[in-house]
Amino acid sequence: MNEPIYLDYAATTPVDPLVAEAMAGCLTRDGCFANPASAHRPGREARRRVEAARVAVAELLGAEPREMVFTSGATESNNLAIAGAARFHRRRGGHLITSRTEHKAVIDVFRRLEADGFEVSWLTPAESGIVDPAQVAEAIRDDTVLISLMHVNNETGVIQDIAAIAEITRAQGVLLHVDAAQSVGKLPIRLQEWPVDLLSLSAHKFYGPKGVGALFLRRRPRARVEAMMLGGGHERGLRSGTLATHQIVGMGEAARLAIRDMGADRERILALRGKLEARLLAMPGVRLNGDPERRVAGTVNLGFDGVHGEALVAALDPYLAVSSGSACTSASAEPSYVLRALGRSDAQAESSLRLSLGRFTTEAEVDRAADCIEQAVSRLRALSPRSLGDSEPTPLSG
Amino acid sequence: MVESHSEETAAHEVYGEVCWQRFLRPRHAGPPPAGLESVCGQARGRADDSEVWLWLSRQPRKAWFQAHGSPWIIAAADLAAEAWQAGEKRLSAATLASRLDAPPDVMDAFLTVEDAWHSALKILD
Ligand SMILES: Cc1ncc(COP(=O)(O)O)c(C=O)c1O
Repeated sequence: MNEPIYLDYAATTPVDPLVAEAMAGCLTRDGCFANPASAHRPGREARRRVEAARVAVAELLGAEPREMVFTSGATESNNLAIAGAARFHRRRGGHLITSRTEHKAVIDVFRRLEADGFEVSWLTPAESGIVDPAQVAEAIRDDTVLISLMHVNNETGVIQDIAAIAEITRAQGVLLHVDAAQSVGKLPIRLQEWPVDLLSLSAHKFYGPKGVGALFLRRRPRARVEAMMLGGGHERGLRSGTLATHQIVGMGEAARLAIRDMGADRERILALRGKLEARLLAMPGVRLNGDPERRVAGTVNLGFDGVHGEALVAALDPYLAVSSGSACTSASAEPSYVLRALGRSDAQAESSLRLSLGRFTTEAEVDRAADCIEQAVSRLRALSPRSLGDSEPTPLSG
Repeated sequence: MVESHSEETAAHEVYGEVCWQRFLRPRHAGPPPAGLESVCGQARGRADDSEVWLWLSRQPRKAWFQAHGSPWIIAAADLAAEAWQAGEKRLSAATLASRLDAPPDVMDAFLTVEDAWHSALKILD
């Protein structure tokens, strides 16, 4: 059977061949394998490459290299930023703010902090997925220490107005953490202009390797966090552990490619998505989840009325690698909490698909994907006794 | 959540070949043709977000279904329609499950179809 068409770039991206090449140079005996913390010459060469990567990643964000801490990915960065800042500032106050549509790697950290005695305000975005900066301003109290909001939502692609929100938090003296896992390398990030204090990223979302990421910690004014990984005092004591040279070098190369190609990638991907979206939205009973305008280029999340979620996912499985509006393909899968928070019913959330395009997506793939989805949806609707747009069972005598 | 495709197996492996083929190409899908509706026993089975409609007619011995649900329920409804046309009078959820080679945790789908079958028969009698 043919490989399914990969339209799940928001879940992860393939490593760019240039990234793989840079990484391969840091693994074997004839390469740059030494410990970057070692004082000898091979160690110094490894250190040099790690620091060059730090410069590239910082440049991608408009930050200073000294403001970057390497981690194992956005999950760790989120944990370090949120729990680390909450604990560090415990005595200043115990109130935290976030939204209901964050990634689990943020939500679960806040849940833990709640269990530990912090108070959390959970903001509900508008139906479009957007958090109004005024909502943030209203939620801030005297004892608020930290707000965490994502830049781009992983399910809908919706972009928050981080610049406006950061102005508010800075004026109120509250720390702002941004989970930018879905935006780094896809949208310009301007940390020299946006008063964001902490920002998380993961390399595998922008054609780098999995298992490596970074946390931006602003130096002026200084964002302080309590370290979680203790040990050899690497990364200025904020994240101990031997630096993974090949991973970090790979992320640095991915950052360089992103700086070079972001604009062109974005234009091309936007055009492809426009084509895909136009075809699918032309079908009856298809709805866009999330804001139509304020969205990252690659992502589109669509709801298909009158189609059963599990059947839709199954019907597409042989042809497309996409993500569904439920946790997994098992019958007990929970519908997406993100779509539920935006006011969708369980049934609507379950019969939603996230399609995400990327650097290697072709026009032929997009055309074929649209064909597959059109066919699957029409077939399932023809089988279904439910009228379009009616997610309630239709009454019938007998 | 959306990220994880926790099932590594392909769909046809999850549902098994018999169910998968029926899900892709059901033979008895759709409501009965206009003239035959009146001679049918028609009934609906429901569970959670799933729903199946079954139409059974004696003269001619025919059956049709529509279903909104997982591949299991679609395949089971198709199988039930076929069983009726083949002259079977009794049909249980367990029979459907065994003919589709289904794991025990999808029994709900078959109970729903069994339910529709019994109701349709009652209306016919
Ligand atoms: C918005 C967001 N935050 C955090 C993460 C976690 O990233 P990682 O799994 O690389 O730690 C992801 C990726 O799944 C994401 O999309």
